[in-house]
Amino acid sequence: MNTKNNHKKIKTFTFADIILAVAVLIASVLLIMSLFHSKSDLKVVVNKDGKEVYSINLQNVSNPFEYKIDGSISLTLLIEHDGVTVVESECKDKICQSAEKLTKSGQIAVCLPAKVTVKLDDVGDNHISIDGVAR
Amino acid sequence: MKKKTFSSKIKLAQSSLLCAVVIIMSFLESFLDFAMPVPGIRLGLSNVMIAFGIELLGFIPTICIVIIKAMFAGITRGVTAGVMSFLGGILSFVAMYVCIKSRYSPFGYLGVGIIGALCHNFGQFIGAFIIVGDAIIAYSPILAFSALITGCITGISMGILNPRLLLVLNKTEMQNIGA
Repeated sequence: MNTKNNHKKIKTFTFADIILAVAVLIASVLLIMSLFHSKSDLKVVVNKDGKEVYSINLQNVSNPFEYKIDGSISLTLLIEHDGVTVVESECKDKICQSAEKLTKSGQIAVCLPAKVTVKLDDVGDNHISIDGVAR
Repeated sequence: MKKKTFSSKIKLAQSSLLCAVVIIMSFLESFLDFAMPVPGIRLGLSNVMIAFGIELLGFIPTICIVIIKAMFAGITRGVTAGVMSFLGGILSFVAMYVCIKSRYSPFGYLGVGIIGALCHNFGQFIGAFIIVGDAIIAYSPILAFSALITGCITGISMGILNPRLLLVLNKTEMQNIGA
């Protein structure tokens, strides 16, 4: 009974909604622009359990090769001169695999069940994402 | 007294029905994953029903639905998915509850949808941050942007669906109690 008449009428759109939508749009576009800037010197950084386990400068990669991240759920990366792809994952979600090829600095493929992130960074920049925000 | 037990039985039935709908929606949504432009992003259609639950049933029944949904995700998609669903679900539930119930909230359904999606993604972001560390920060603008898109879709769905559902339910309830 008490649920019947005491809930207020809610409109579909209000002015505040539009302001909110525009604010979120601007914030996310600014964030995307500051995080994903393409530079020539890229490195692949692989983190597992929050620790860096592997990193390689893509400038040094002349022939594409596969790199396997071992663990309870293992992943296989294809590292090429111009980017990195998660080609195989034992995880059943396959979310990281559907991230396709990473080619720009700041791009990331994540496998939560394996606790692995594969990320492209600028060379000589350890915390690109934080710097990118501060810049 | 008789009336009160009758309406509480209705409420229980409505809660269970809504819970089933939420679970089915989140299950069906997993088949839409292939159509999502960004991996790991989901539409969040169950937020429409959570918002409806907040309006119809109030705080306690709806938070139970959120917890059961997280348990379902945990059973069917693994512990990680369950924890992520729990964090995102609780955060977006609280945010939407405040937006819907507060007298001073300036937002309509569209705003509720966007805030719900943002908070859902933020909760999952916190979960992912704990699991994989600060590399996940690079994912945040994509999460924010996708929350805007999915939030608009769910918000508009709420705007279309919820007032009509409430109207129908209130009418039938009136008839039942009057009878």
